[in-house]
Amino acid sequence: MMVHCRLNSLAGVKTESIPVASHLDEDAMSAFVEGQLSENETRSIVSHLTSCGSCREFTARLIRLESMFTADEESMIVDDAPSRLHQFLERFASQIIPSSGEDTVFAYQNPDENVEKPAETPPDKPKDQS
Amino acid sequence: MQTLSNDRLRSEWAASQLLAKALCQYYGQALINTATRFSTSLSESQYRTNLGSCGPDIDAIQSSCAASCPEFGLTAADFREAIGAAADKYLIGFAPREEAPSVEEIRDFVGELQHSDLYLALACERGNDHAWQQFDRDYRPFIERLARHMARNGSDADEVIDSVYAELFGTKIVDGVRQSKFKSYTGRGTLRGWLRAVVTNAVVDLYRGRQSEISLENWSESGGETRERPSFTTSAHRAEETMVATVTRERYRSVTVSALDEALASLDDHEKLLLLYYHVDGLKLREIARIVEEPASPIRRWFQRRTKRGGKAESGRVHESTVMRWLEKAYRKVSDHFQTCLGKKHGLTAAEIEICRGLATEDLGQSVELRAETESFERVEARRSQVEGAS
Repeated sequence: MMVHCRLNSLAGVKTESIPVASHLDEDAMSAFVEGQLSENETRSIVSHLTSCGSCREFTARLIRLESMFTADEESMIVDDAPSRLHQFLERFASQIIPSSGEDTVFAYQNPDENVEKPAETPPDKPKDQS
Repeated sequence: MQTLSNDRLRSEWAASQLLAKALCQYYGQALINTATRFSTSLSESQYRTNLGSCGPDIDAIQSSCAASCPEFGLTAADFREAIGAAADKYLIGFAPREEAPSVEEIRDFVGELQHSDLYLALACERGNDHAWQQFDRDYRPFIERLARHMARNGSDADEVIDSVYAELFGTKIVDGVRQSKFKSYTGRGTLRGWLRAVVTNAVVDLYRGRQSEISLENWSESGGETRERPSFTTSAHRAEETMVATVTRERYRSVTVSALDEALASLDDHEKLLLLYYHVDGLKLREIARIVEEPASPIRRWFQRRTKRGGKAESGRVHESTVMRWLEKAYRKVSDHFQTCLGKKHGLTAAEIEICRGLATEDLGQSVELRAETESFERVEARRSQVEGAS
C-alpha cells in the first residue's frame, strides 16, 4: 500500500499548508473540468490540484457528475429519438397509407392514386412536425 | 489575499479586489488570488490599454446578446465590466507573466467566453425578472435533478435547492449591494457546469453542517468501482504497518519511502494529477478520459507530446486504454527514478534495491509493478479490466 499511502499522505500534508484564500472557486473548477481553459490557466490549476486534496476531490466529484449526467442525457436522447422518429413515421405513414382497418381497401386502390398522394403531402409536413 | 498599494491601482481594480474580499468573507470559501502578478506597473498599464482596445469587440458581443434578450436591460458598460473581471481573473490571476497579454490574446480570450450564459447570469445578478424567468425555465430542472441525485432524500434535496436559489439571488446585503452568487460566474465555463459546482458545494455544506460525512462517501455517482478500491486512509496504513513489521524491512522502509517520494516528485504536475485522480480520488479511466476529450485540451497535449516522440499523436476520442498508457508511462518514470535514487543517492546494491522495490510494490499487486523492465501494457490493461469488471 506504499504508493497509495505516499500519494495520499503527500497530498494531505500539502493541503493542510495551503492558505484558505488560495483555494479554487467553483467558477475555475467547473471551467477546468469542462476543459475550457488555456494552457497557462490549466498549468496553474493542475499545479494547485496536485497539492490541494480538497480542491482535487471536489473536481473529481464534478468529473464523475459530468460523466454520469452526460451519459444519462445521451441515453435519454437516444431513447427519445426513436420515439420521435416513430411518431414521425406513423404520421407520415398515416398520410400515405390508411390505418390498418383500411389496408384492405388500400389493396384495391388504383396504383396511380398511390403515386399522387405522397406528392401532395410534403408541403404540409413541416407544419405537422413543428 | 495579497494587499496591494492603492497608488498602483486604478480605482476599478481596487473595487474588484474589495469585491473579491467581500465575496470570500460572504461565501466562506476561497477565491484564487486574482491580485496582479505583473512585475511592473507599466505592464499592468499596458494590459489595461490592450483590454480597452478590445472594447469594440466586447460591445459587439453585447449588442448581439442584447438583440437576443432585449428585456434583460444590461448596458454595454455592465458587460464590459464583467468581461474585464473575467480577464483579470484568468489572464492575469492564473498566469504569472512578465508582459501584458497582447490585444490578440485578450480578443481570443473574450471570444472563448460563454457570452449568452454570462449575459443571463449578469441579468439575474441584477435581479431582472425576465432573466430569472428564463433561468428558472432553462436550469431549474437541471438543478433539481442534480440535487435529488446527490442528496440522501427528497427533503435534503429540497433544502439544497432552496439554499442554491437563495445564494443565487443573494440574501445578504453588503454596502447596500445584494451579494448574488451569480457575481462569481465569469463565463469561462458554461453556466451549466458552474451550477453543477454550486449545487455540489451546497450538498457538501449541508452534510458537513450536520457532521454527516458518511453520506458524502456513499454518493452513488461513483458507481461500483471506487467502492471496490482500497480505503487508502485506513487499510493502507494497517497494511503498511504489517509490511514493515520485520526489523530487516524496517531498515529499508525509510529509504524506500524517501526514494519513492523523490520519484513521485520527479513527475510533471499533469502526471501527478493523473495518478492522484486514479489512485487517491478513485476516478475511473473513462471518467479521466472525459476531461481530456477536447482535442485542444492542454493536459491531452502534454501527454501526447511525449507520445509524439515515440509514435504518432492521437487526435480522436481518448479511449480508456489511452489513459492507461499514460498511467503506465508515469509508473515507468517513477520506477526509473526510484531505482536510480536508491542506487546512486543511497548506494544500495542490486539485491537491496530489489528488497525496496518489493516494499514499494506490495500495494500494486493488481495494478502495476515498479520493475525496471515495465511489463507490457496488455498485461496491465488485462488486470485492470479484471478489477474494473469485477466491481
